[in-house]
Amino acid sequence: MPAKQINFRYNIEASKGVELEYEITEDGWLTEGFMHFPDGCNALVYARVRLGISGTIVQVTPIENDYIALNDANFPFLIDYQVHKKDKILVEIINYDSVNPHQVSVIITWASERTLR
Amino acid sequence: MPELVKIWTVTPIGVGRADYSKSVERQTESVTRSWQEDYQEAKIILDIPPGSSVTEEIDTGINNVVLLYDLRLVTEINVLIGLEIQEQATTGEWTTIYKQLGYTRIIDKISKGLPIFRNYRVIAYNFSNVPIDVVFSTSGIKTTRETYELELISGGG
Repeated sequence: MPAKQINFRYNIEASKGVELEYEITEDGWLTEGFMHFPDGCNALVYARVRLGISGTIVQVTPIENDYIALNDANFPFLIDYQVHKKDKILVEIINYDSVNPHQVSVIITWASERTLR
Repeated sequence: MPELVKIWTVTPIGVGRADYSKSVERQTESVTRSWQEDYQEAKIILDIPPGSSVTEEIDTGINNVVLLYDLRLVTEINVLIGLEIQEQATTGEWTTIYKQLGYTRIIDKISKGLPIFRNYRVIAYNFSNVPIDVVFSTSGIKTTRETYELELISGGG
């Protein structure tokens, strides 16, 4: 079963927010996601993942309209959404640290078929 | 590859550390200072009127604790005298913590010590019909309630 990981690693400057976008190139399923917050973030870096499916935005990270903010931690999460070509993955990362930049990774797994764990 | 579509400025809410920098946390721990010294106090109280009393206030200093082990009140003639010791509460009120009567002299040893946490005052009573002079003396130890901060530095991360 073809699958690939889409990497949204970003070194975000202090007091900045960014939105990264990836356009799906093949029909398939988004099966799971993964976030990593390095030690030093001190829960000041917020991240969330949303999908733009057929013009509708849905958030796939908990909790709806909220963000994940951790320190020295990995956060795996299930997605289980069917996607089509031209749909979008939107990753928002906001650094509320007034001094330090932080490199946060968000990895989304695309698979050609649905996989249930 | 993902594309950057939007960047904006936010108001920071704190300060973290550089990613994977050494974690240096400082904490302080209060430690009671082990310190004590001998304590003596003597007061001569002159001319206590008949059937009356005189009060002498004694300052023990800030943050000190005094333990009185020996109390003496002595006069020169054989009359009934009284000794009262009052301690000042944090509210400023005075509380009696010791009272004794005796002819000519009051000599008392308090094996456990009479603790004084703030200032205290001595009230000498003259129950006779003549004016008297008395000497009050006490001894004990003086210690402190002061603490200092012991700084511990732990490295890791």
